[in-house]
Amino acid sequence: MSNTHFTLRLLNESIALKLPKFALIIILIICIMIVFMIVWSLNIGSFNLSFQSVYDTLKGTETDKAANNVVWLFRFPRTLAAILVGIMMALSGAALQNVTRNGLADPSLIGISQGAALAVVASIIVFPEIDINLRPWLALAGSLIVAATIQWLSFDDKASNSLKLILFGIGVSAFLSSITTAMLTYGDIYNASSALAWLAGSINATNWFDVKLLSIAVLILVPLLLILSRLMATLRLGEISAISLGVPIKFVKYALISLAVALAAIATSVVGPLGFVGLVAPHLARLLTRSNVAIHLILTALIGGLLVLVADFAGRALFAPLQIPAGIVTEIIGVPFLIFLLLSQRRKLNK
Amino acid sequence: MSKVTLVSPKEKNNFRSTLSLGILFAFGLCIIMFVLHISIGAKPLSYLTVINSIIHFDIRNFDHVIILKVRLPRAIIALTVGASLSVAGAIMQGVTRNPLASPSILGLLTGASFAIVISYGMFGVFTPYYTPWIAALGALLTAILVLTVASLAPGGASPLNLTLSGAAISAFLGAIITIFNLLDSDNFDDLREWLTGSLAGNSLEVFYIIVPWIIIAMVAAIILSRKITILGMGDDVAKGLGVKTTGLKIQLLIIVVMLTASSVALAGPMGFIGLVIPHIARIVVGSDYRWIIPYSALFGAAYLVGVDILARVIIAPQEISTGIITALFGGPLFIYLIKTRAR
Amino acid sequence: MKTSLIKTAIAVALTIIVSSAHAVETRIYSDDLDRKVEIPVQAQRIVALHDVLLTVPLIELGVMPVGSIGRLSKDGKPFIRSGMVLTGYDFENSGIDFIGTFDLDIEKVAALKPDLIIATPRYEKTLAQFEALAPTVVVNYNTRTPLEIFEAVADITNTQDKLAVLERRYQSQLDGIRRIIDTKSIVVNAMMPKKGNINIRYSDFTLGKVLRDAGFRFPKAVDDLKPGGRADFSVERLAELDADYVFATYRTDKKHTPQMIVEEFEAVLPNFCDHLTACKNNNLIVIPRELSLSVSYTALGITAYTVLTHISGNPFAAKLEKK
Repeated sequence: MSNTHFTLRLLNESIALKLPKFALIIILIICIMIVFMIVWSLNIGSFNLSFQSVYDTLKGTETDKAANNVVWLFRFPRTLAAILVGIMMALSGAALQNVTRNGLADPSLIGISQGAALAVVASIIVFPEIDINLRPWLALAGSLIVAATIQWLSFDDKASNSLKLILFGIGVSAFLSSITTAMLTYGDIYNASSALAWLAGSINATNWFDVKLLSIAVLILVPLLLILSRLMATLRLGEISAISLGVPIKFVKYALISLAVALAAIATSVVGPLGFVGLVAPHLARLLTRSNVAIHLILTALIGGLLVLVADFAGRALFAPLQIPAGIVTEIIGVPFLIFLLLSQRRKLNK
Repeated sequence: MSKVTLVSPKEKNNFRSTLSLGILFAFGLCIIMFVLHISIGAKPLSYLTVINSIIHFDIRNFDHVIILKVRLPRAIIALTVGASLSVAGAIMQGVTRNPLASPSILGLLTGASFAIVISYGMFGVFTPYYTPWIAALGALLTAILVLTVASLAPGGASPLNLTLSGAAISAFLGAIITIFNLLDSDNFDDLREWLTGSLAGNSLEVFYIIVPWIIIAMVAAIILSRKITILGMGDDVAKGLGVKTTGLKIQLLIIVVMLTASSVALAGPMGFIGLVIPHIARIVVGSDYRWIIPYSALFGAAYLVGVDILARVIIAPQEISTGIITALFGGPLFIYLIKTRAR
Repeated sequence: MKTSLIKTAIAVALTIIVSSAHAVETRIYSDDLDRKVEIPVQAQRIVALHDVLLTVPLIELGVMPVGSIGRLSKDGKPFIRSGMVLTGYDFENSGIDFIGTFDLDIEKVAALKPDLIIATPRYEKTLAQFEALAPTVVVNYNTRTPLEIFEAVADITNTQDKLAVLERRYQSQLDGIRRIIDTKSIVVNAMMPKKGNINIRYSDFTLGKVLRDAGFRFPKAVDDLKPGGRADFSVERLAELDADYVFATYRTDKKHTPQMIVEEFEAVLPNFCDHLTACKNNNLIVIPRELSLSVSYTALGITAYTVLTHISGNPFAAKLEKK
């Protein structure tokens, strides 16, 4: 690394962050792209609205009821939800990759999303009378059980083996998917097809309540994740010294995994499984710039948000009025990326 | 996974005779399951009727038709599919040294489903006569794709690369299947039963066409079994022992695809048999593929016939898709096996 | 900040709803989810969130919706399932706009400026979004039989007069059957071969309704399924499903033929015809499923005449001894 750093001094130099300028520029560019996408996304849709009337609506001076609805009830919450969900899935993937030291850990690849999916599909098909508002909790419970199972499976007398974790994760997710399929087969066709729609990962139904839920989750979990990840990076410098320092490395590790699972589960409960965002975003962030943990995570989060925003926008606008769920779009983007990673073996670069 | 245990020649001989006896035992198990399968069903029929139907079959007698034209084909297909998928799984696990390798994990079954969904969605083809071949083609193409991706990756077709490329390609095909299902919920209604794997409603006509391929593949598997054991010790060891690993792997791939595609053609995507049964066989016989292959075949056959009996009686007079029970049983069993055996 | 924005939005929306409410006459309708909804007495711009279950009944009741869900044909063209064959209307000739498949485009709905949205339980989670556009009522297809759905649609659109006319036509069609055929003495069944099994329903949609309304008897195994029930029977129990007349249906939308149904029966049970009394007596009747699957009085009428002609047109078969 060169000396092109920008040092952020806060509170009379009690907090000083050394930030590489190049990374800052990239972050800035992505932020601009996100803002641009938000504006675009607010302006495009099957309901024709002029730029001026969208602007008026946002200012609160537009009096047309339909225009207000379209902007305030459909496009805006949906756009925000897409960004938030993208941030959550991306950070979940980054944290998992960090903890397991495996560049391929992604909530959708190792069964965490499938755990949430199974719990929710079961609630749609087997217990349709269950309150919809319980979904986040069901999803969380499903994901946690899967995460615990995989941890338990791949736990070895020596170190937890990251290769095994991936293999078991894929095995467990195949098992869970087959049970989900079974439910789709035997459920009532009406319930089954609405479960299928949810499973495809669709952001179209998000409302302000969802946005609120997601924002609260992001505001609470993301700072925690940042702090723990930095702690983790410090501990990585030498595990023995950390132990002698009295920092419980195991605690940090499990806390990080739980955070990753919670992020993925909450996002999944709102919009359904969004495949591969957690895989693609951290790697793209690393491809763009190699930097310290904090910068990497911020970049990952922004890329994740942008990715899902683009996926949702493409899915709703490209073939309108036909709607392609965002989860399908991210999968179709994510799989070639995974294959590219496989072929170029980028994951070797991951520490 | 596959350590060669060092034992004295005498012990080895004892072990071998035990294993030979075990084969007989496993064979007996298959026969018992088979007899149970054709005797038990939605309509209670006496063993006497069963025997009568075999000795002097009367096409006008409904009971005889049930036994010989409904239950018997189903039992035969269950035996065949169980054996084929288990042997396919055993070979995959041996070659890739990956305890998770199996037709479902490596995406072959999704490939078959994909081909069915696309052909149905695009051309409306869904008949007992064409569907098996379309499914087989899908499995074959997916296998080639998964293998190509895995072997192009640095490190070659390693367990991780294979599993990952399998998972990736499955996910991709799965996403496209979902698009089709979402756009046409009627198609989804028609196909969802098939997509979980079912032994019901298959005639022997398709079976007669497919069975020669399975026999060829099985015989080839047994002939190559000694070399699989060596391959399981690692490519370097195998090369040192004079085995041409690349050629062998290609031969084995062809065998696996033949077995999987045939099974999908007969019964749809039936998960977890190819994953679980080889592990059980390995618990019994150790790491020698000369034994693992026949044991896997027999265990797999008996297992699937047994599961199919359950599928028909659990909620009688209705039936559950056999594929669902194999998944429900296979999943936890698999987790248990991996936990206790993979070290 | 965000909440204040929401509040403003809601306030604006409410003001508009309240102010515009004076313009049209409204009434309170209690829908299938027990929601009390204020709907226009005579809705002018209806959006229907199901084609066969909602759009087709609406058209038959003389209320042309402005938007409907549809399906996609193989060449990517949207269509209203059963629309053309039963009503003569499809998207291209009706002025009904395509709003997407079941994953619909809500903005498209908004653009249609509806004054009433008829939804299904599938959209339960998103009702608030629809409510913002127009009063939204839910018709529950899980608890209503197809014809009860029809009644709900007539109730919602205030077209019970039209429904009464359709119902009278149907009753006279049933009278036509009963006048010619001694329905109580004849056992009928409708079945579908399905992957080694025989699929039966207590009442197979339109066909089942006609058969039951006309007074035909069903095998005990079918009566034992409670109304609305369906089951896959093992072919081994075919004898329990046997009847004097057996109906089967083939897909017209997929361009299937009756021959394909016969092949499917054959795949389930070789020489099935020898083991099914109805088939042995040449009383297996294969009709298009489009008729049987719809929520439609037109379909009921056609089905009634199909049943009448097939059974009365074969006067000797009915007299054959019953097991």
